[in-house]
Amino acid sequence: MGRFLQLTAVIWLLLVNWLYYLQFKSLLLARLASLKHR
Amino acid sequence: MNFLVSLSPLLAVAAVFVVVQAIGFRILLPFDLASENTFEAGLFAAGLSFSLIEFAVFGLSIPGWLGPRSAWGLIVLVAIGAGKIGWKKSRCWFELLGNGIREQIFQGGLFRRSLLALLSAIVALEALVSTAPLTGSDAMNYHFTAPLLELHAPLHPIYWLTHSFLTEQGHLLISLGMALGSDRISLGFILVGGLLTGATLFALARQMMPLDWSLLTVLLFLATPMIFWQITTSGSPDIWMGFYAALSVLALSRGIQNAQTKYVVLAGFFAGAAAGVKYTGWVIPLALCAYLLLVRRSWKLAFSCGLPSFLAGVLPQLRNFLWTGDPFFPFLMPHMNRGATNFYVLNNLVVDTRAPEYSLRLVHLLIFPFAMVLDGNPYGFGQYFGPLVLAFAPFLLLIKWSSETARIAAVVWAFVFLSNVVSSQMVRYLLPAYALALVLTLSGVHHLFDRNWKAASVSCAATLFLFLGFAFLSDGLYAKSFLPVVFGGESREAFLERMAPQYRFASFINSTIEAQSARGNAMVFLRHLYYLRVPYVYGDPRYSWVMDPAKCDDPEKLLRTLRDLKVRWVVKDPDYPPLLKNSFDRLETEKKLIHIASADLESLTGPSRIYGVRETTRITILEVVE
Repeated sequence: MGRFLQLTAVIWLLLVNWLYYLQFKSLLLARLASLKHR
Repeated sequence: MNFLVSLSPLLAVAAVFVVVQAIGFRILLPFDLASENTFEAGLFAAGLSFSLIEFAVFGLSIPGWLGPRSAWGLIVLVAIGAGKIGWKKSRCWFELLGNGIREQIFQGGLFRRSLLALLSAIVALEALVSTAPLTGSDAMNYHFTAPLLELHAPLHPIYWLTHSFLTEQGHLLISLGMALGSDRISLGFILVGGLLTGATLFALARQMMPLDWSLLTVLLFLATPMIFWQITTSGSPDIWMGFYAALSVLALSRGIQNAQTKYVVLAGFFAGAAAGVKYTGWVIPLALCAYLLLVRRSWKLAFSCGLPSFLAGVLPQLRNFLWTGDPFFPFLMPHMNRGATNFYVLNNLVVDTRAPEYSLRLVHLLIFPFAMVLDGNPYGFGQYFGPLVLAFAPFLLLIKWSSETARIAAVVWAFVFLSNVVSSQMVRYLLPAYALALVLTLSGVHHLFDRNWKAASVSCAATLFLFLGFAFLSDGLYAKSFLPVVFGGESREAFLERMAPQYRFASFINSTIEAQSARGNAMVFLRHLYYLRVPYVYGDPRYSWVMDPAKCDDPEKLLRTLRDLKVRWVVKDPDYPPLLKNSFDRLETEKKLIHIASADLESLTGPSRIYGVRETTRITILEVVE
């Protein structure tokens, strides 16, 4: 039980982190584009 | 030299804070609420006295007496009023604080020292950035504009700036800062609100976690990009709601644990002070009263909490009621005074305060808690709160729910969250509950570590340090744009032209009209009004109560409205608002509006300046022919 819960927790944390940081890709690209424009 | 000048507002803020702290102790002592020299007592003193200072500023602003003399006079009076005992208690509190920090630096292990070093670094960076001139978009629209317009004049409704009715008790600290001599003192008070929220969070965390975890919680809170932005450059006083919400939880928890009603009254007062910051803040006293009624099953305690809440937060509602008949102007106008309602403005305000993706469909409600963090832009920049609350939410199950502090914090968080879901789904408005959410979820993680679940603990630690790295990097990059002006490497003018949206527009209007500004007002449609230094009225019918499109639908009616408002110039940027365009164009064709100046000016544009999008706009100034 403990192992299953731990595995669930690890997958959950991986998923949240991955999806969270992924959304900043567009911001990063926009910033790079603005730097190039300058 | 320039750097020292930049820091001078912080010195003024520190001086006011010390005075405010002393009077707070002086007031609390007779009620035996600060007899022990504890960290908590100092927070209660600061919370109580800042709120009372707001009342005093409100009193001064009614007859229009708020100015440099009265503001500094108030601070001197408060300093004298604190008396020997207030100053002595205050000194003891600062000594306690200093000794506590010193002890941890010299006796703490490497981890604790690292936490303290990072905390010092983030606080120092926030203090520096907060001294930059005002550039926050909402602040330049109304948070700072309304207090500036009200300064030196008797308190009066500004119908052409509907948002001015939304300025409440937190804005009185902005007024105080301006009256003390600088809008950067006002920004400093917002920083103080943030640091006090961090300190209260620490006190709450200490009731649920060991010292290192509590320090980590505060560090994560202050480094969170949303908090960094809110307490440094945003110019919004909303963080004071976060401080008072957390403080009310702390006081209520103490009241229930010690079975002392006086702390419940104090908690009620703080909850009312939170309500006094923003309309949505009334959910905080509601949550506390609900807890006392439903969980503690005591209507007496609920009353002891509810009454001071009402008294502490009612001032702005009373003001709005006396002016308009609607305490929550303009949101209740259709029910209070339908005939005088500008439905166009009302609908725009409702849309404006709601997330673009707002919906009450069941599927959406189920997705919302995830989407607000993982796809934050359509929900009022929810991503800038970071992923921790969502990521650690499942570990709430591990908390010791027998803790009164945890239960009260959870109830307040739940009320704030649910009211947000129903009313706006703008995640930015969850600011007052963020500290509570963070302390609860981190407490869950702390209990997970106690269980010795290695894989899960390592994943949590990685999540924490990843976010800490991300937050420091983001804060540093964000701060980079503000530091040159703080260190004196860039002039104020150049900085504002670079960073303040529409600043060049305002400068152009000022330079064109200033010499003859005594002749009347300029009607402007630009959103960022703060740096206008000529008499003006805001003409955007979306947010100007007096520019009802239904009443300005032909040129004659529009001309009458312009004359009623003593409008001498109209500024289009680049065009008129769509609903007034036909009438204004006709006035131009009929030569009742004559072009006098125009310029192509560049400004930041788009939903957020961090994207760095700039656009050139043609600004045209026209004169109204008599």
